[in-house]
Amino acid sequence: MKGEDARSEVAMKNYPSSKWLVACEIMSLVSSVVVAEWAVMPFTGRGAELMFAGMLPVAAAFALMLFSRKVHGETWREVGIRFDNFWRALRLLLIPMLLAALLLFALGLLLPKLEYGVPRVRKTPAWIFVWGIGWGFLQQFMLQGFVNRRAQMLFGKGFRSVLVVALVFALLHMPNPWLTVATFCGGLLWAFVYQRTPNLFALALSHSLMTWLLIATIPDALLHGLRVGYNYF
Amino acid sequence: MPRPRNNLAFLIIAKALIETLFVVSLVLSFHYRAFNTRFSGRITEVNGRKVTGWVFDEGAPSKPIEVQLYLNDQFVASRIADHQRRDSVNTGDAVEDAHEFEFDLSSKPVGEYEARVYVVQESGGGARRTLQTLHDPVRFRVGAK
Repeated sequence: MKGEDARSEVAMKNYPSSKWLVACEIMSLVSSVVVAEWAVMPFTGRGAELMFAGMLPVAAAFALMLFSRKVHGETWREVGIRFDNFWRALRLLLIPMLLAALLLFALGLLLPKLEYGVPRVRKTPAWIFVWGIGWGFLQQFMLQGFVNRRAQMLFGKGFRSVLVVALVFALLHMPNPWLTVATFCGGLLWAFVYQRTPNLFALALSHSLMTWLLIATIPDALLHGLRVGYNYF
Repeated sequence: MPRPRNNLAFLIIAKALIETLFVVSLVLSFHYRAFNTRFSGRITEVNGRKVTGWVFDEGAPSKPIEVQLYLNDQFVASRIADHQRRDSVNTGDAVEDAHEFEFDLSSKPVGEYEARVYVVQESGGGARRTLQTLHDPVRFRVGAK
């Protein structure tokens, strides 16, 4: 495992002269999400039209991520699709998650009422949990498996690359103020843990649990149904 | 620069171009569907008691049309113009299949007003509703009854 991690580090330093390209990779992924959030939502209709139009930026983002992974010679295991370090990653996440949960419960008591603030279809904890894991995995795959690894290629492991990840994550949740702050904090934690123990399943589980806690404690009037981009308005 | 890197750079540039064209086409399509001026119509009478007129949709002549009345830039009422225009044969600007509308103003207090009538156009499967001016604003006065 140490050998693989070392190989991963080497792969990241293979082409130091093309850092601009790595920066462009991050910006390109961000642009796809921005297009989906700020152009597809307002300029298309509902249902099939929205789905069809939304497929282009999603497909473009995945094409970029998969091709880039191949160019950088990253294995799925290096990206974090593995189970051997699952419990180690969870252990790292546990205490910060407990602290965040306590903070959210305290906020929930201070704010008008403690309740599920999401639309009726999402009101069962099981639904939120299952939906959250899948959606959380996808987000963590993009954020950590792509952005974090490329931020490390630019700045190395440590605070600067962790900050880049958190800022990108928060930026993509604007203009929802509560979600922007929450994703910035979550982005810091998840990016830090990923750099120490890359495991996307543990991060997806954590993402799902924290999302559930957020919508269970903070009123929907503040969370706006977790809507982001143009859809927020 | 190694070949795979060149390919990656090419992919990023191509992706940026495709996404730009995609956004431009979305905006153009949106503009065409949301603001396409295919309505014609007229305010035929404005007085202290009512605002009447007719409206016609060239794209769907038989379809009822929603119109909204604003007085002094304040929303007053919405109507479905869904009945055949009665005087279409007698007027020079006759349009067959035009629909009449009428707004009752009998409860309005004394004062000066500026009336604007808008046609409501739905697009995007009902996701959007845009208002199009039907006629130049008409000024009128409601006097003491």
